[in-house]
Amino acid sequence: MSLSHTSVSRQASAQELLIWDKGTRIFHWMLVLLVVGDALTGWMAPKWMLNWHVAFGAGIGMLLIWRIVWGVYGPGPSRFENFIRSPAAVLGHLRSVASGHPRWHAGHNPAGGWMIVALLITLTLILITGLIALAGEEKQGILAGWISYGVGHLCKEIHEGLVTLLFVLIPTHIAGVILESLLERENLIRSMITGKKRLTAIQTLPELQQAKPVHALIWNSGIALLLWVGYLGLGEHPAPLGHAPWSASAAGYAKACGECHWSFHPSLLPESSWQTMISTLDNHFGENASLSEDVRRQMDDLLRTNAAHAWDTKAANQLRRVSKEEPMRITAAPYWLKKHRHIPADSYASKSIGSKSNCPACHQDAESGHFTPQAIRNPKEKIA
Amino acid sequence: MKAFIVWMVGLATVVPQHAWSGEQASLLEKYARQARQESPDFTVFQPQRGELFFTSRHSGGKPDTPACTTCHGATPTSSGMTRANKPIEPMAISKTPSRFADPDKVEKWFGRNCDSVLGRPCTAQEKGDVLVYLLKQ
Ligand code: HEC
Ligand code: HEC
Ligand code: HEC
Repeated sequence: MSLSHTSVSRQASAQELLIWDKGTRIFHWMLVLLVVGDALTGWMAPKWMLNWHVAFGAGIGMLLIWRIVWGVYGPGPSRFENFIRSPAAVLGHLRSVASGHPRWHAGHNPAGGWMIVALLITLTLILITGLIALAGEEKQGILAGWISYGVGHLCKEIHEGLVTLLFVLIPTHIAGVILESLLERENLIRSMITGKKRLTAIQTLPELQQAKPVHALIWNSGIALLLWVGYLGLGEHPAPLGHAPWSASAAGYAKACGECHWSFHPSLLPESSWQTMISTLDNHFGENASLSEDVRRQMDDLLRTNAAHAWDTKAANQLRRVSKEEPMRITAAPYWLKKHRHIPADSYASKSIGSKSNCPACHQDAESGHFTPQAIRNPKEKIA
Repeated sequence: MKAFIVWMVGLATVVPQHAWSGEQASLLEKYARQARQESPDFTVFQPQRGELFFTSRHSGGKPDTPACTTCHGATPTSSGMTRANKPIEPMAISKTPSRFADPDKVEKWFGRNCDSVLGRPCTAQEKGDVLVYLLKQ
């Protein structure tokens, strides 16, 4: 993390001076790349690419930590104290823009400065809500053991709302940059690449601080260490919420219910559905699936105690709502239909799938009941 | 006792080539005992009768499943398919050595499948015939 501690200096050239140090510039463009990557993987990529989305997010997290520290110990123009200005200063600046003669600022102008703050805060909140959503909805990530599905789901909604906000802020930021470039006849996008801005005769250079890279390094290392210790600490939590140990074969379930189809995970239907099913096994979807009385009673107990309400996965939470007409069909539940609406009906007939109720053909982790996005595979064709 | 000896001799001629486990032998023994109770005329299980029973279309059961072969595949050595489209391993013991080793499983499936195909429970003779037929395959 050795970063150039070039500050504003006249050495750059007679007319140009270095405003944006190398660290801030690399930060800026890496952030652009990673935000684009996260937007693409969040909105458009197939479900199973979630790991990419999370990895880009983690990258953004590291960048943000670095930038916040650099906002305290970086060179003058990168420091918060120099670009977080009073509302009066913002108004004054906007008025000077309206007059067509904006006041020159070495770094961010007062309005642009607040935009940077808004972007940094929004991004931070997006990462935090994303981490909570990942834990609550997918039971993954460092918070996996602590967050319920309900909280995770709420945070996912907030996450998406904040992303919408971000995609209002970003165009505004770009528009501001373009406007200032035009008014000042200075290509500010180029400045963020070369780091330099022109210094014209009338402009006087304010006294700005030098960077303190050693301080920044110590803070960054400290935060990294703290995160690492926290990660190790959280990682020791024994079992994530709602992931009771479950083994179909140990309990005789596979023998009783896994010969005509895969052993449906009990979390995929609510107790009431299992109860009806287990008491009508002699006519089970037109099939005789009857069991001896003691096995039947065993399965009744097993299915009902492990039914959807006993699990906190996304599938279990969502599949608690069953179809009115066919309460015993997982594949008739509103959530199931919604999630699979893009899959062509004839693809189920392919030999490797056989039936739409053959969840393990497309969900590699079906046996565990997790149904995580990363484990989705369509053997015939990848369906987004 | 006489019938039992006849049965054992029949068995020895019918299934010479495949070694089978004690479970399968005692299951056949059980069905033989039941068959004698059900019909005093019973002498020995016959694989030909089993084959006819297993491959022909019956009435009385569900219209979708008129024959054992509807699910179990055209021949005992081919695999079949459940109504939920899961493959069923061949019934022939030469293809699937683990067949008929669990008496509870065999009884469970005779119970279900005879009901589906015939609309009634199978007789002990029918069960034994099918078993000796499939054990010979
Ligand atoms: C004799 C064969 C057989 C046995 C044994 C059997 N099932 Fe089924 N099951 C079926 C068939 C056939 C269907 C309908 C499949 C279809 O329409 O694609 C079905 C469907 C289901 C479905 C609905 C799948 C969907 O479309 O959402 C569930 C859940 C289910 N079975 C659970 C069980 C449970 C639990 C047991 C054990 C008590 C069991 N089954 C035993 C044959 C069987
Ligand atoms: C033909 C393949 C296929 C079969 C069979 C199938 N699924 Fe899916 N499932 C998918 C695909 C593809 C997606 C992702 C859809 C999307 O991109 O939104 C998905 C999504 C899901 C989701 C949502 C995952 C998430 O994180 O959003 C759940 C839950 C789910 N399936 C459960 C089931 C269950 C339960 C079964 C069996 C009854 C089943 N699926 C059978 C292909 C399949
Ligand atoms: C509706 C489909 C269906 C029909 C029709 C059907 N079976 Fe089955 N049968 C199955 C399934 C499924 C299994 C269990 C699958 C396995 O063991 O691989 C099974 C298993 C068996 C078993 C137990 C095998 C073992 O390894 O213990 C026997 C015996 C049997 N069937 C006999 C019959 C006979 C006799 C008929 C005709 C009267 C018949 N089946 C018709 C679906 C069917």
